[in-house]
Amino acid sequence: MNTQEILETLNKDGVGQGITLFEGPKDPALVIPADRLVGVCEHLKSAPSLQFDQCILVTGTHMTEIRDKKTKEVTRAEGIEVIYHVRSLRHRALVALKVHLSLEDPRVSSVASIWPAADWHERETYDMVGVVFEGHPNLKRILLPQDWEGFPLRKDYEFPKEYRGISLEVDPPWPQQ
Amino acid sequence: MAATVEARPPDKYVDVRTQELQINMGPQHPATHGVLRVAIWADGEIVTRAEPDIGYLHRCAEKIGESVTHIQYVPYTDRYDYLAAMNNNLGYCLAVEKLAELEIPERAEYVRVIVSELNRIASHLMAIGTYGLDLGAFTPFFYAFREREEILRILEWICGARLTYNFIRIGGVMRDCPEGWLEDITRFLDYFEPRLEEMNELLTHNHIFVNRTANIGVVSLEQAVKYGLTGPNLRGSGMRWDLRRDDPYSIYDRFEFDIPIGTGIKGTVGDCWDRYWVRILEMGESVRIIRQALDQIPDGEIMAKGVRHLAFKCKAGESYQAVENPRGELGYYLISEGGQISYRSRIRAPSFCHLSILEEILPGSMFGDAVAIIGSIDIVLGEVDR
Repeated sequence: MNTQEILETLNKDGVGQGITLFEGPKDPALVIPADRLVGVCEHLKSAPSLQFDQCILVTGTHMTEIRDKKTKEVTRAEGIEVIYHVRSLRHRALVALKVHLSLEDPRVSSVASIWPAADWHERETYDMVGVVFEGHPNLKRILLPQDWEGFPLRKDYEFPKEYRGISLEVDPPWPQQ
Repeated sequence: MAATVEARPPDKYVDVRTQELQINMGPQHPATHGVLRVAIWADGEIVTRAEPDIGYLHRCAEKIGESVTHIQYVPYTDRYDYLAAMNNNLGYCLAVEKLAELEIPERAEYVRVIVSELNRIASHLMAIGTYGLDLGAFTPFFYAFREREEILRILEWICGARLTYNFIRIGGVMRDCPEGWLEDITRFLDYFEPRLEEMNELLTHNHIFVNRTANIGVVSLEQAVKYGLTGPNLRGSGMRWDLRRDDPYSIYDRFEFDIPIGTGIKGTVGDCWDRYWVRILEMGESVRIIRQALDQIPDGEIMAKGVRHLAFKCKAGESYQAVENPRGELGYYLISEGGQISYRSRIRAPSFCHLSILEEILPGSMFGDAVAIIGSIDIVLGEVDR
């Protein structure tokens, strides 16, 4: 079962509104509107023809703006992308789901109630990229200290000068992106 | 001594309920296999709540992945699951090769399989040895380490390192097999196979060991799937799932091997003993794979043509590549915008997912069993915290 077939199944079951197929140079993905994510995920898990019962990975990425070199048109708007990889053990299929969020207020509903495995992955995504998962049971930092400031995997992150009086300056300085 | 332990009735503990007490386990604790802290709330002897606290070993793996080139990142992958560095190398190299559309020479593929499976045996030996140690069985640890030492010697022979190999490179492997190396592996396998039986006599059917692991930390199949368990932990719960067979990568589709699962021989399906037993059986399957690979290995190149290691560039795209690590599904999700550096490199570490199930299975168990349960899911903290 490939991503195209999964989209067709979703359309047939009547939950495919607004879902588009992202066809990158390599792995395809389904782009889902942020407000419909939970409904689609519930259907992916419960429908007998799909049965995506295992959440493999949740990734947050800060996508910077890309402009076409000649026309100066924006080909990719700046924002946060959250990517969910879910697997169907029965049908031996893996699908990537994408949600586009704004950089200023990245908010999306949590899927931890559907797949408990997403709990820690969402916490890590919050920790690193700053995505707020609404309805998450315990949304706090998981790898970094609770009083850490900023979200390190954002492209505009600036390395702190010190943490609790400990100097973090290095020589030569960290490369800034 | 094939003793079967009956499930203990839960009402037996009702008398000991007193007042809830919070107990801190770790971060410096010999049984947590690294720097893991688990806050445990106990009522008498019974755990009522558990909360793992991680991050003590965080080394900014994904941030580093965005600032060094693909080639430079390979040695970093050694450091995540340091007990199975070959498999980590393999996962990352496959992910990059998928993006770069590289064809790997046959011989290199076979060498990759051989070293990965050897590393899997070494990793399982470590898991089993330290698990016995956690439960107070000191001797099996030395036997496991004696065998593991042989594997480390073989791997050291081909790449010069004992733990962080950096041997599997993008496009192939670092160097060809030295003279006599393949024959030495055959000699090792002949020596090792009977030793598995020795391990069974020492630990597997040991009455004390069975009593401490059977019916303890039962993970039902439903829970295992829900919490994203993969690898031996998922198979211990009775699911016949192995990426080497179900989503074959490299050349694993050419080999014949079984996928052992937990069947609840000593207690319930999915208990600590089942997870341990799956690892023992898997070592035998790895031996089978290595033997087949040794028979089939062809002569030829060990590095793909046209890989310019100083200026290696990937094509733009994003891809997820998963491999079957000794601990479970290790995945690399790479986003490349072309050029030498990944735009985003996300690591799906199996131990990270496995650890989150502690919150679910520790409550209700005896406090003394917490160590047995944490040991049985076989975590490596380097991989949890990255």
